[in-house]
Amino acid sequence: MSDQHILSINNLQKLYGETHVLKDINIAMDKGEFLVLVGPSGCGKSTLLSCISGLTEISSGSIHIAGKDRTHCEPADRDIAMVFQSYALFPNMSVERNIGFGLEVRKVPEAIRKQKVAEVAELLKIGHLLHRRPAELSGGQRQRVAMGRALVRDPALFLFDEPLSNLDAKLRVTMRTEIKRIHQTTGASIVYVTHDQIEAMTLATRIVVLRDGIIQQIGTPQEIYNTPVNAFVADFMGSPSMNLMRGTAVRQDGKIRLSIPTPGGSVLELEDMRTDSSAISEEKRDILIGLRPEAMTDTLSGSRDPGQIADCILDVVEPAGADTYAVINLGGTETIARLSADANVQAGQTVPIRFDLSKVSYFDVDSGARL
Amino acid sequence: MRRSLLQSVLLYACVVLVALFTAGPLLWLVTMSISAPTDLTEVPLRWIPSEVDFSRYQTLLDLNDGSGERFLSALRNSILTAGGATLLALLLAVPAAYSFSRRNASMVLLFAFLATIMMPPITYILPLYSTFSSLGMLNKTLTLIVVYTAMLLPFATWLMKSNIDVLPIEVEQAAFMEGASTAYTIREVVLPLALPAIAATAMLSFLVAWDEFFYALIFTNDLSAKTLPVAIADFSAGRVTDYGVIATVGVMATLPPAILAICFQKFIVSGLVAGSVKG
Repeated sequence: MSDQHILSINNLQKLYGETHVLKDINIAMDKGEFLVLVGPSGCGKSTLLSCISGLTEISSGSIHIAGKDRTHCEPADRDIAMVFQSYALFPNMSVERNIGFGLEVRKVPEAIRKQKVAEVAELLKIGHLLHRRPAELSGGQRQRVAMGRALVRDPALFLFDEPLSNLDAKLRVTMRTEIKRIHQTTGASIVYVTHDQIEAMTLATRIVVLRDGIIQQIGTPQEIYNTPVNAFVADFMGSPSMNLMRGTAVRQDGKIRLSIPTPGGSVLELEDMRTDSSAISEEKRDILIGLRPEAMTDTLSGSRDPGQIADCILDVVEPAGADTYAVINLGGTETIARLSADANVQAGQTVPIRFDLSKVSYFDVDSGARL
Repeated sequence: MRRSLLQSVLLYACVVLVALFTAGPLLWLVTMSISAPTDLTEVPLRWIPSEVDFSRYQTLLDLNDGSGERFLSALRNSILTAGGATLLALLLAVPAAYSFSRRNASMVLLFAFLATIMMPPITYILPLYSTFSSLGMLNKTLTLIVVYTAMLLPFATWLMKSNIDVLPIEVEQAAFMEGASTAYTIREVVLPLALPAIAATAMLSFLVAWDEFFYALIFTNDLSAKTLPVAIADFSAGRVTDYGVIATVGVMATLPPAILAICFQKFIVSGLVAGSVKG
């Protein structure tokens, strides 16, 4: 059943005593995919990776790697390699020996070992560091060595456990690109854990969003971004996150009429003509209206869609270089609008804001589920 | 921060006091060993020797002299006993400590081990004596090595366990992930990281075995197995007690552990783990 998948996890459960850390996890991953496990801290993403690696024993369910049942295999017998958050380099060995350690253990002849290590070092641009000790390397170089150690064995599956979280912001972006480049050139199958949703969006071919040990959504970055299955995913993914305004919706003449209360007591009225209106009945109901900040712009922004324009009071204005973010109080929450950098606006001003409802999401107020 | 004169004076007075308190006995021991015999029996005591006399050292290092033979065989026995017991204890303690630290071996077992060294040695003497006696193993260096190993093992295991506990576990996990066996991981990854701890444990174990008196006193009775502490006691038990000779033996007996400590000092440094995890 899992022959075509490089990794397939079925009904995985993990309990620590009474605590249910992972609940009924099902993942099927194809060869060459870059699967990112993302979620807030304590969501179980690292535990899940640890289960895949075999460092943690699972409570029930099964794990198949490259078509073989590896549920109860030792980590060494799973045909995987892991890059640890803390790098976990061997401090007493040179970079060369660190990278070649797995080959050394497997008794690969020294000549072949040297050649493979040199190839990987070339790929990672650390060829000149091979004779140094880990203590003599910078954070980014250590990260490269840790990746080299994983890459050199050419396993079926790579596991990355928050590999960039110990790097400074600038280096993190560089290494992110580097990892993406390596994935593109080697076609490796990678499972990658991060709490950083930007990393998830930029690196993944598919994202798994976890919360409290339950998979919320599995999908491509576009699917996760544009059609989040619930309010949690909508809020977690994207920076700034999706605006979730409380309002009412009713179906009228094949379109959806939205009413969002403003603090001044007036009501912002919007019309959604595209969404399949069967999602909303003709009976008026309270809903959460999800709009990305870029769907709320100033009238200067050159959007093709004229959208709908309404006057809003800007509470706070935050220039961020390429964009200017404005905080607007709508639907009982502070929403963020993404204005153009040229928008010459001040806090407290009333400004016409263009609402683009082509990618609007609706969620149930109580369950948070997508409507 | 600047100190007032009074504070400085008080501070240095305290330093001198502590220095005298710790180094005083040792200095007096050395002084005794090179004083003329008459100096040591004078009343009031002569603190500074009237003449410097190294003849006792010469005697003790001469195999053909009676005291020299006693001292040198005791020195040999001590080195063999303490060294052998330390080596054996470490060989057993390191894998044991690893099991307690990383493989969830029962802590009850470890505490049971530790309980054995909390019992006063006198409780073991009789059963051990009759056992060794029936095996014909009394007055043998090997017997003392066995007893000392048993004595050192709980302590060494416990010390090594707490040191392995603080090593970064990811490094071992990485080794396992790369396919290394437990034995290979311990040898290639854990031991190099634990080297300072091993050196410290070896040092302390050696000292405990070196200074042990009671078991050695009971289980040995001649030159072939007597260790230094017993030999020193013998020097003072003759018809005439020569304090100078006892002091000389004392000084000589502190030399091997002191040399060992100096040799190990370069290992007992922190920071060997640097560079393995984080930045």
